[in-house]
Amino acid sequence: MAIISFFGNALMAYGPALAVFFLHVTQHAQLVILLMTSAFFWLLSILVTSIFWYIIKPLQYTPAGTIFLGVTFQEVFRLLFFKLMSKAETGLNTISSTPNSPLNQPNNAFVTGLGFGIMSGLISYVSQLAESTGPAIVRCNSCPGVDVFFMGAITTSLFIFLHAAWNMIAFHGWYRGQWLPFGFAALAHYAASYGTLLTPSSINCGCVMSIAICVVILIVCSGLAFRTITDKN
Amino acid sequence: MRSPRSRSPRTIFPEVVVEANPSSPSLAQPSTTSPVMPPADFSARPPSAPARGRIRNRRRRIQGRGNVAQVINSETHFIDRIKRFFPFASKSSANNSAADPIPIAGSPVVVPPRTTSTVELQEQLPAEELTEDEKMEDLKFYMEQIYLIIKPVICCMALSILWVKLTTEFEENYSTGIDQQSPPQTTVGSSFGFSRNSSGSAFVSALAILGQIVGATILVAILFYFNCMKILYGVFVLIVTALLGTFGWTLASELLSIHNLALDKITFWFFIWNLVAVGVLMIFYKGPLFLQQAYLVLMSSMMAYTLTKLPALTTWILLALLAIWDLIAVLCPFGPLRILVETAQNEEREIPALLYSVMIWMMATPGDPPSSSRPSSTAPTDGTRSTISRRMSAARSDSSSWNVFHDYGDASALIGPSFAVGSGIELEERSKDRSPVAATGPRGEPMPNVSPDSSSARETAGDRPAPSDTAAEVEEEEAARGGLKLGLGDFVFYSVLVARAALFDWITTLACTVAVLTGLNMTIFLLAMYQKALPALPISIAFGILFYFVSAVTLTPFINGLVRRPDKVIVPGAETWLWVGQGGGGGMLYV
Repeated sequence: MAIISFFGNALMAYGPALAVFFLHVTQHAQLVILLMTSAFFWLLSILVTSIFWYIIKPLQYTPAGTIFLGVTFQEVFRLLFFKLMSKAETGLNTISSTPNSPLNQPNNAFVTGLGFGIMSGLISYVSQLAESTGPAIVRCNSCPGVDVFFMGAITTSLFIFLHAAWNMIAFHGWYRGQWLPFGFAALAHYAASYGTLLTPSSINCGCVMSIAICVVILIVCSGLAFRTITDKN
Repeated sequence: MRSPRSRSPRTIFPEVVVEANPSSPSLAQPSTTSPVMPPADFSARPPSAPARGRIRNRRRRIQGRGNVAQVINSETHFIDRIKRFFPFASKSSANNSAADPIPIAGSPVVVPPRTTSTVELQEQLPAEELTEDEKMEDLKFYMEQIYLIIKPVICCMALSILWVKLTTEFEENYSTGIDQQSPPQTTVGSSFGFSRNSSGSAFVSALAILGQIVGATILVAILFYFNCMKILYGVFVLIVTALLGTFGWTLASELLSIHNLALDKITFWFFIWNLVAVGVLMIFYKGPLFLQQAYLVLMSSMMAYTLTKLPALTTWILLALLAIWDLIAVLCPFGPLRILVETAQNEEREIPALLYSVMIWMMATPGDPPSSSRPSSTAPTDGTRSTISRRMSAARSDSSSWNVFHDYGDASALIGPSFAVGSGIELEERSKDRSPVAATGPRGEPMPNVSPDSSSARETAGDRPAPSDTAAEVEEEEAARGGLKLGLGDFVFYSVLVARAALFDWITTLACTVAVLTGLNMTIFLLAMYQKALPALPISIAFGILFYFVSAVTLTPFINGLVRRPDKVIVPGAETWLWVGQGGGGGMLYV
């Protein structure tokens, strides 16, 4: 069971993201570097969050506050990363394989978001994944038929792509000086993260609801992100 | 550094400029008979599409070839190198006589790297500034170089993590990361395996290890400075044999014992013997490039794994000291690594590639950005060049490792027939029937970074004994030439840091990995800006140590706190603990 659940969970959580990574990102050197830099920024954001979490003791007992803090810092660092990236914008366009393509901006935004997502997926889920090699399972509180590791794997795999979609939406707005798309993306992030509160709760079928929330948000945000590609102005 | 030959051109230069510049139009005019010939001022090169395509093709091929060749193993032919070096060392027969006609022509070309004096020269010649386009080309070049370098680094780290995880006791897997509900009150130090009374001895032992590294570095620098290449190679063979043997032995026996596997001694010895013998042959003689790279990465990872056996505090002190030592060795005027590089540059010798495979080499050296090979990559765009233009472009490609010297290309074309030894060839369109001399001659490829001046190219062009190079080998060597190089010492100590983190926790491991890689990225960007050898350890190690402690203290409990779970039940006397479902379920919050 241990090995099987380990591989199952690992591929469930990271399989789609790794497929995108190897099929799309690794083809271009600058995309890889972009992804690593954005992963570093996400790491910075979570480190700052964890420092605050560590200092402010009451936060450690209120998950809602923790989520608020974490999401806020992630969005702040998304903004910071955009500031950094917009400085290198012309350079990034020039050195890409298609210097004048209108798809460069969405592509860079997507890869950056994927970096955010992959790093967040790795950091959030990897220790559970390591534990899932053990002989036991932990059942999910809201749906006793499923174990925690499996739920975590699904949530992780959804969040990786949610990050990519949010990043595309937010960057698209910022490139045009609009803050509304960013506001929407941040709101969606809060919604999705607060949705995961349902999983450990004692509400009946809470885990299904939390997954459903994530999926709905992912569909909506992906639609919006796709429109940023086709949007010409 | 010590050779007068190289010092004189610095002083001669301004005069050469004055004389060379007026002559340049007259020389360049005949060549413009060909329709697409780029203008004499190469810095204003036309952004013609074919040229860009060519550049890209060439790079892609470099990328396609083995990347660690660029990173680790700058040359594959040990015997050739020995043939080349030893006449040089014993009596100045082949090398110098072949290079003799050149000195006048060569002396303006033998240029130090972009040290301060060169920078001054660049300031004197504002016309030689890189254009925006070329900067972009450089940037792209470095981007690809980073990519190429990162792959083996990641491989090495992953292998060391794997060794650590495979050799850790099984029961520790269950307690990875996730803490008890109320973490025990401990001091920061004790949770990382520090014991109270060992800090003094830890410092001493770290200093002892550092002392050995410093001693070895200085020794190698001295040996290289006085051209004792035979001793150097002998020492390297011995070291590699010993490393592969002992570390392979340690690791294999540990894996066997921990996983409780039985293996008879004869098979074990046979395995170790094979590992060592094949490894030494691969690294020092010849073999498939992939295997060479694999062996070097394997060796570094095993070395890193062995270093994790040090006490935690010793490791951290050692890493911090190493970063400082790296700064000193590379940047100080008399740092041994700096002496090494400058000797190599001034004496027209390449640092033997083996240096890269030994752990004392801890710096990143810049590759030649495409701007340095710019003239030659634009020149072949016209198929019908006159010989003089070809010669010029070849001479330029020879001399243009520095942008400063584009105008001197004409001057060297004046004196240039000796340059034409290996130069009258199509620089880009390499075919299989090309003569080996031409293939290894100045062809506008990025020169080996350790000698960015033209010297080594001239050396290889002039006096290389015509070997039976196949085109593949040539390309391999060429791929090995341009590009950044990262010492195996960096590989080892990055991996030590990550493996140390892997002993603690997965989250910390990932944080350290990303931090170290980002530090490496920053170092390479600095390299692109400053264009000189830089220590690769300090930024990465600083990031790594910082992220290790921050994430070990705050991030791991934070992430684990996000996973709601019932209490662990520790069964007294049992090997491990269980989660028992009666206490209610859990669930994961995702930030």
